[in-house]
Amino acid sequence: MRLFGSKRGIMEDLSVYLIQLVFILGYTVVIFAFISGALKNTTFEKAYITRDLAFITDAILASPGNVFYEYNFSDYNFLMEFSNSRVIASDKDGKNVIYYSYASDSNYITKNFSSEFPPKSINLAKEGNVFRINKTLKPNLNAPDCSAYGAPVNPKKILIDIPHDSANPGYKIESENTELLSVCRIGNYLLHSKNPNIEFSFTHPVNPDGNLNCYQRNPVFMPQVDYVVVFHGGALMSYELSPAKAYVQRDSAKEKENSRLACQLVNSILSSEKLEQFTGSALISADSSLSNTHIQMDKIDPAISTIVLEIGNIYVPREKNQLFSEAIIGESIIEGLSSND
Amino acid sequence: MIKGKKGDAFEVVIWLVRYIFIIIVLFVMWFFIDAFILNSIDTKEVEAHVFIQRTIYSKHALAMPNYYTQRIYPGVSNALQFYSQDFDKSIDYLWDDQLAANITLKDYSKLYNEHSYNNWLPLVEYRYMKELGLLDLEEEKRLEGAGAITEINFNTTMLYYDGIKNSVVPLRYRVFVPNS
Repeated sequence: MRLFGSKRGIMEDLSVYLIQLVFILGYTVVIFAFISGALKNTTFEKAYITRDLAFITDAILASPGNVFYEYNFSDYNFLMEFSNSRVIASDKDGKNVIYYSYASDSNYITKNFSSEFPPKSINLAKEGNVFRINKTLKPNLNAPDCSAYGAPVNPKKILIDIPHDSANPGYKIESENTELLSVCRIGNYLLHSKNPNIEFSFTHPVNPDGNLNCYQRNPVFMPQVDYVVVFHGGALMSYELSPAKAYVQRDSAKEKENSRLACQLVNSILSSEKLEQFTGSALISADSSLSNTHIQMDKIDPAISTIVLEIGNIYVPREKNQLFSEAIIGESIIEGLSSND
Repeated sequence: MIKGKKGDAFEVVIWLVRYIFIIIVLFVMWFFIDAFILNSIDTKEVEAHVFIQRTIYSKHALAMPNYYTQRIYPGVSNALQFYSQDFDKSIDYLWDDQLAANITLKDYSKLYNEHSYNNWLPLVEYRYMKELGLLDLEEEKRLEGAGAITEINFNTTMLYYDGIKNSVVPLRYRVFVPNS
């Protein structure tokens, strides 16, 4: 081909080359937009993660024993959700959803779960007959096996007693130890809790402001309840590992049932994600006089079982501070009372 | 450059050929790039084998528990365990279109996700007709791609406890996983 053969030829050739140039430039823009879109597209990553998590969940539910698994998210910024037997991954705004199904097991109690954004990790834990998603995998080797004490016990009516000590029916108004008062605040949290399945009553009167009167106890109290739970702040100097303790009546006809409930309460406190100071547990078999020491001044039907729950030692600084987390301890107690673990 | 009307017409033909050629090259590049972008993962085999292992090891499936301690004997089962467990509840996808299976232990057989299994069985059986050359091309196309079913067979053995002793018996799986 002869380039620029004449003026007309020049114009023709130029126009042809210009058309070609525009054509190539347009194509380049489109192909770059296409590649850029493909690079930003996270469909593959979401498909991979949802499948991976679904298969891991299947494997955990298949295991005969207890399993704890931590799934780390290193570079992926997705909103993760476990809902209706599906692992769901989406963008931060909940768009571009990709999901994959896993097989749930109706023999395990499972709750739906939504991660924060971005998720650092998702923890999967199968313990007893409960499958938890995002349960903190803290050392829990000291947790007692509640199934050894028979079927779960879920009492509906609980009398909470918050004594000062065996000799003193109520807190001293002046110069009272704030740590001890914090134990009373846990009772106050339960008073205001709105759990339709559990009805709490208290050996302390309720003030006109709607809160428990921590400085006074009702001298006579004979309610119709299923259980009495006595809150106890440990006050012995001790170097033992911080245990969640419960004292159970040894000579009761319902010893096994009592132990089951005490175990549920201790386990619930021990497994709470936010009560990290508790690293051990103890179920202590005590005679009835010890269990009843705290409420001997009240007239309680002796047929009603009593559990003394020690929820921290005021001489151990880390536990003392923990006593101020009344909402967390209160929630753990409610969870323990309604536990099916 | 060729002068005259004939020459112009010839030039146009030449350029048209060029443009068509360029368009073809660009589309080839496009498809070449597109071919490297993966958005789907084939996990049908993994899915089937996770299901199979789950039935073998889960205490709510085939694995027999000790009567007193409730501890599991993985790899040991019997007819009582086989029939007493409701697999549809202990391995529950909630969505019927995930997986279905026929499980045979010794001479005992049961269906998992029976409704889907019976729906998908004709599609799978169709495949055998293809192998025998009994299908035309249109019918063969229906056996591939989305909407079709992949069949995964798995044979192993298990210990069968008859109340006195253990004996080795065959354990066979015929698992259907949809392609979608």
